[in-house]
Amino acid sequence: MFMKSITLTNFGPYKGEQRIAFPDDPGVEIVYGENMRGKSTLLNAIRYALFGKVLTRGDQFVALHQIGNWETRDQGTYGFKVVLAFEHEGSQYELTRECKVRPGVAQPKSDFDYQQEQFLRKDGSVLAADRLRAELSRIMPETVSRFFLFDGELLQQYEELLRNESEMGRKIKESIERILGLPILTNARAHLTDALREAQARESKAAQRNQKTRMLGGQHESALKLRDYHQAELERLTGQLEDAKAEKTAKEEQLRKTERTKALLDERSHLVDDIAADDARIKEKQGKLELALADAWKAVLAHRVKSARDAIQDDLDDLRDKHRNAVISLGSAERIRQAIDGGECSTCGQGLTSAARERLLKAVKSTSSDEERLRLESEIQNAQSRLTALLQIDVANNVEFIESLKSDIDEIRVHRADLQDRLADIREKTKNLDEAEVRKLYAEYDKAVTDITILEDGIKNEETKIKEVIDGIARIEREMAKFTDADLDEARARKDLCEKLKALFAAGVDAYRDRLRDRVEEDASDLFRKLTSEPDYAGLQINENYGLTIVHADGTLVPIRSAGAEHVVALSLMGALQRNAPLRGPIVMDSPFGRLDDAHTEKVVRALPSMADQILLLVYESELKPDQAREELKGALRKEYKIVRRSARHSEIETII
Amino acid sequence: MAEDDVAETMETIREENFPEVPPELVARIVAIERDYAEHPTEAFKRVGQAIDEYLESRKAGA
Repeated sequence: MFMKSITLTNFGPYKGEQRIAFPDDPGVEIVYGENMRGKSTLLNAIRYALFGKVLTRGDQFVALHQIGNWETRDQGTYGFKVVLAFEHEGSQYELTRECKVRPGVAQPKSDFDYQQEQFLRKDGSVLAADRLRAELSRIMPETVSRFFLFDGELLQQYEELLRNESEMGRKIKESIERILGLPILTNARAHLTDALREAQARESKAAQRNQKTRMLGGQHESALKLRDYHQAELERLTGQLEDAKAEKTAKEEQLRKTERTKALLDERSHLVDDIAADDARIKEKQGKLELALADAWKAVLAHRVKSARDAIQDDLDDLRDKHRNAVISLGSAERIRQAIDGGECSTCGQGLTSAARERLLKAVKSTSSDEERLRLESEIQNAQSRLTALLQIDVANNVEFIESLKSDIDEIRVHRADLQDRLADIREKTKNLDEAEVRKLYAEYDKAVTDITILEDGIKNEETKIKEVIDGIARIEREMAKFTDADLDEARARKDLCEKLKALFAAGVDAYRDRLRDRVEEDASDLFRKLTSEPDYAGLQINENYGLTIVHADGTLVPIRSAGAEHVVALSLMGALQRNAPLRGPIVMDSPFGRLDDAHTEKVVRALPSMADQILLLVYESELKPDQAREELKGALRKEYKIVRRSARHSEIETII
Repeated sequence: MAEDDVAETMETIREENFPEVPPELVARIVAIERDYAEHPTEAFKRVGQAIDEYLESRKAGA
């Protein structure tokens, strides 16, 4: 498909009739337009002509009633029209799609007040409605349109290819395999599976017509029915499993978005618990404090009691010293008295001189008396009693304990106040949240996970049953093979052929898919190396879903990539698909350079002519400067247009060069 | 990738693993599926016809 011209009538901001005539030669055409002038509308006009749809950036349908030009609508003219002229395989086509107000409706208010008409003229002849659909789906199937009508803002969809089990990833994978021609083989495999089923049924019937094989034929038919039942059940469970996986992925995606919310809700819940714990600790400490304060008066006496205890203890120590000395003194006096009475020294036995006796008598007189010792003992006993009495008075100084409790309580209160502030903050942030919705989301995610486990078990069970039944069918067929008649032989030959064809095409699907992946990986890597400005990136590695991961020169994979790198990878994939697809068509790119720096923009622009025969770029000037485009594209730049503002609701397309 | 790649892939597998399956029948099924990609019911009907015709021709030949 090669676009020749597009004519828009009252479509979006394009008031009246606006026409772009595209050059006949392959190359790049650029339409410049600032934001809100109608670049995306131009992309949508092509989409509308081909598929009857107008989409928003979020892939939502735009109501017909909203598409017509607002200025003409205010003037009482409703409806719009797009005419797309193109060439395909040597034929000239003119596709017209028009949205008109239904007869009898004076002022349309909704889509029900409009009707759509579509015509396809091929080489001058208008095609019938069924041929129109068949022709269009052959030229540009809607399922692969994402690779031709490319919205730079929707690049995140390509990231889905890297995530297994994602619904979007699955759809894109299907689109890729479709564009690459795999359905030729997958459809053949499905049709041959059905053909084999029919052939086996014929074999059963043929066997039942023969007296010798009637019973085997009946068993065969029953076994086939049982197999079909289990296969239907397996398909049902497999479908449910895919749905459950898609549901799980969708919930994961939603959970990722609400992760912050969930974190806030969890934090809020923890804060409430922590505040309650602080309250409990404060209560406990306050209880202890009250008890401590009840004995606090004793602290007033503590100093005096301590002083008295210390004084008594000192006295006691003194009295004990004196008592010890008194006892020693009494002992010495006794030994002197014995020496005086005996007239000789009790130690050495020498006789005492009178002078010595006099001295000893003097010494005896100066020693303590027994009365003194008894007096001291009495005083010691008295002091000990007083000390014991004082020690029995509980005058522990609990001031420090009280202070420590107060300090703890203050500390907990400060902590609690911090928590309270944070809680108030979170309550403010979450006040408009539907908590039940978030909790429901988690419950739904958990349910999807549980469903997946149950379904996987069910699938295993069905697979086992199918294997058993198929083994049984094979046994019956071996028995039937011992008999022969014309009918049965014919049915058997058909079945054998279908069996082989089915196996052959099943092997073909796997082989072709591997081949496609290898080629897409090779071509995408080749393009990626041309597009990237990072010399350390060696290429791309493809996954099961055709998702591409950057490979570093050292062989390691680069798991996380920037928005710009993501963009370059997506463009590489698009280019590789174009190179390998049997289908050829124009690539229309809306704002494709928004995420790219100058170096990458330069490389991508330079590589564009190699991606497809016809490329229509819809860009704003700061995204791609006209001088830069001319410099990079040189002769491959075929034409430049500009969307000119006439009013907020009126744009016109002018040819620059 | 050229359209012929599908046929080429199938022929390689047929030759290596299913030499008893006639190449013209495989090529015909590929062509039917390509031409009627958007009309699976018609494709299924035509695949069945191709098998019938092959078996008939083989019977006639025998």
